[in-house]
Amino acid sequence: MLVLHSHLPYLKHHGEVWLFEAMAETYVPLVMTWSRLLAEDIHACVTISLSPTLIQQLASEYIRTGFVQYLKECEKKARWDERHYLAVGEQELARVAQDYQRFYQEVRRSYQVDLGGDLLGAFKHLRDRVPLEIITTAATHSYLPLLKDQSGLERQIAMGKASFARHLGFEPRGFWLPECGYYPGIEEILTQHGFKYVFVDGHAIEGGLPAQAFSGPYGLSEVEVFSETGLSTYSPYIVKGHELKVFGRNAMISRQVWSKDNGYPGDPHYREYHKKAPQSGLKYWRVTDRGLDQSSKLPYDRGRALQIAGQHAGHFVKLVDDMLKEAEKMGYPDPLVVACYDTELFGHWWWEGVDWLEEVARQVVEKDNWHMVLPGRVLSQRSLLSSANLFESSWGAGGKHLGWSNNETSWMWETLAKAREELSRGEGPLSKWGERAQQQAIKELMLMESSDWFFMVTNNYTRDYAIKRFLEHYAKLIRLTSLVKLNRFDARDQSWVMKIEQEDKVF
Amino acid sequence: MKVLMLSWEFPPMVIGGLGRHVDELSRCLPNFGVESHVLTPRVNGCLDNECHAGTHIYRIGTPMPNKDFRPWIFGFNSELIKKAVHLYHFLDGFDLVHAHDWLVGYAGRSISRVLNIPLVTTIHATESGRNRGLHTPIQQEIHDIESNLIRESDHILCCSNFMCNEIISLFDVDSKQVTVIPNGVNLNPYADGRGNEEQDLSQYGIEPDDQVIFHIGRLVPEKGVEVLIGAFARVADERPRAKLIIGGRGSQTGQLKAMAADLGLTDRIVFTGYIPDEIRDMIYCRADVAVFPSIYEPFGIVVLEAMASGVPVVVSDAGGLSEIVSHGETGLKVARGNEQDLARAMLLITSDFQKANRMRLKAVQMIKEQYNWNRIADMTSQVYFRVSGRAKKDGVLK
Repeated sequence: MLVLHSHLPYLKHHGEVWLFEAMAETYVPLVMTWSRLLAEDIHACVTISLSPTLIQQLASEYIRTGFVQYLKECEKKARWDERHYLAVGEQELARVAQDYQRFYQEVRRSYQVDLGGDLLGAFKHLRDRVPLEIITTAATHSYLPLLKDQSGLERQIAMGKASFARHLGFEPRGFWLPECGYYPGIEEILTQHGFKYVFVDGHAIEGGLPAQAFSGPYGLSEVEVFSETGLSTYSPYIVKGHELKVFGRNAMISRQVWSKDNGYPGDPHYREYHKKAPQSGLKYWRVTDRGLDQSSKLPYDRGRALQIAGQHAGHFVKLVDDMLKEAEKMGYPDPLVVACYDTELFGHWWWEGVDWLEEVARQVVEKDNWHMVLPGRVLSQRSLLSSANLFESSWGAGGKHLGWSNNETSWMWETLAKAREELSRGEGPLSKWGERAQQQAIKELMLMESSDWFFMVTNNYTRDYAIKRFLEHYAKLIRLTSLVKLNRFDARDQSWVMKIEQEDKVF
Repeated sequence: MKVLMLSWEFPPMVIGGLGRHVDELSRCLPNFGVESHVLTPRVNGCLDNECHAGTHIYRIGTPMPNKDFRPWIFGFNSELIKKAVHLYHFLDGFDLVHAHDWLVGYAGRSISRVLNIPLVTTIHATESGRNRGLHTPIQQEIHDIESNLIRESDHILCCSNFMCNEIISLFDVDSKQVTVIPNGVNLNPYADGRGNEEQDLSQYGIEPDDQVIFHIGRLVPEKGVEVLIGAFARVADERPRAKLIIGGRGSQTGQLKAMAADLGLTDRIVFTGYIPDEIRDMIYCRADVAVFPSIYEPFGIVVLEAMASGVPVVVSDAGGLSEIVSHGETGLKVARGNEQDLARAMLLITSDFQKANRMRLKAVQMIKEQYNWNRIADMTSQVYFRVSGRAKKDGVLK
């Protein structure tokens, strides 16, 4: 089972390049690849999670227009680069620049012509024709185990689902727990909102050492060891005492793709993510040797990289093959291997990732002893599931909450609590403007709750942007709640509220 | 005009010159038509709200902790935002927000954007300047925060041409965006007692007929104290009654004491450790010369304090120091890091009393004219009026 979780925080009006990059490098190529497979009658089952913040942005006219503009600019940059590299006699780099021009042209053509400028429509269209299951996640992708606030939780789940249904026209059955963050007690509310199943990291079911035990800036002493349960991710379960079903992420398969050190994306022939051309920001080099500094990187050779991607796909399929045989030997009838990844890994971070996915799909079709499956179908075929108690857990560093809750982020959780307090103080009936401001304040709170800011601050990854965004939404929330309390909106206040409604129109 | 001022330090909690600067500035601003509202961290034992003639102090959040400074300062930024927005509605708006250094940068940026008022930022020092380059991820991060704060500010203030050049080259800003306004200094209340040799410094082993050479500052490499000790070793033989008082503390304390011992000057060099302002002023009144041989100095408030106490000064040609002192007129200036020149200057000033006297009187005059807080508040208010687009009532600015 292949599960791709697609999410970006709300970037509209706050610097959209990150979103455009993911659209150009991941979403459009992915949709086009699956359409191509379909045309060849290859029905590759894939579960796609679309976060409500991503959905809203992909649907927005502003983003759709901006994206085309972005693609044109990238093409222009690649053209400058080509001229520059030809002028200085860098033939290999000039060829890569030519590839980029073709790439951006192709993406633009696909987006505007084949997809009609509508990525959401394209996903929906695919779903009608190939075995594709689309699920969703929390409204602003908040880290649910630490939300610890019933009305906030309700909002994250209900508003996320409503937004999904409004844009996609059907109700999602699966729920992607943001960051695989699970805590006992969340089942009830998910079931109430019609969700049938979730995904957790392997150790939530199996116990043992979490897959991400040693990533991040933490020592072993901070990593919790979960007691072994004897259960396995080869099978889905029903959460003990509840109706909710659960799939566990297969740790080994995940590591093979994700791991910085042993995973596929670190191969010397793949494109290097971090080295950029000084003017255009485009990437012309290959990983070469991860120990080398940026100046010693060699030019990228796409042909060679694609060969490697093919080999890696073969390796991956063989790995799953062996794993399934092993599982059968261990006595699991009809074992299941659940592979969950961030969608943006493919294409955006790992440039050859979409090609790799395509090759995996092609090779799996050839298999007669196993095939790709969808969660909904698996559950309908297996009527009798064992029940399991799950550990409070996530797929982050240490296997629990460290990646979002630590010394660097303690002040953010405190600020969030204060923001919630401000919000709950409004009393009595509100005027029309009071109601608008109150609704917008709730959206600002939810934007603060995005797990992205906490992750970025923890890992010092564009931390300045994360802190700025977090505090800016807080400032808006404080101003909105102050206005609600004063319940006095002069012309200046009204136009400000309208401006913020447009700026942070997350739902 | 109403200005919201953000400062992470404020008297009585003062770490460096920033807190004093904000204090004096906010007190003088009302003289120029600016009502100032200062937001600063809570201090145990201090009133949360104070108000004197057009200056309002609000102490908010939690007091500075002994550890975990970073989470605290970001949390403090969120407190600043909350208080600022509440005050904004309570006081019917502000015309401008003025942030001091990166520590309140996030609050300054958010407040400016969300309340739609201009942001003026004073950069008192830069991370890169303080460390002479960026060597650690934390230094790089602070540099990035400074850079984004500067980019989002409507106008930048700094205290010297040296700092102005540093900001322009480090952050690639337009020189029109930066205004140099010096720091101010008050005249030493003890200055009248100058020449009264009875200032009793016996607690530091100073005898009545000793010549006193004084240095004060944090004991860190950028202040060049090892150059001073080296130079003093050359002076010591020729001036048998000369003693060097080194005030302040810092990472170099042990190393500097060892250096003094190696040179056999233990009984001639006094390390006082931290000195309260009052004692400092007393030492100034007794000192024959004050020496500041800094390697990096964005402004150099210390030399102004020495001058305001009527002490002749010897400084290095670093940054702000170099701009304040004109050689041979208001003090002596020597090349950075040059022991021999520094020794020669100290010998000159402790022998040519007439020249020393002439220079120190001239320096006092200059302090009164150029570095008084009213002049600085006046210059700052002009920037406020210009940036906020408000004409000053008396018509000085249109």
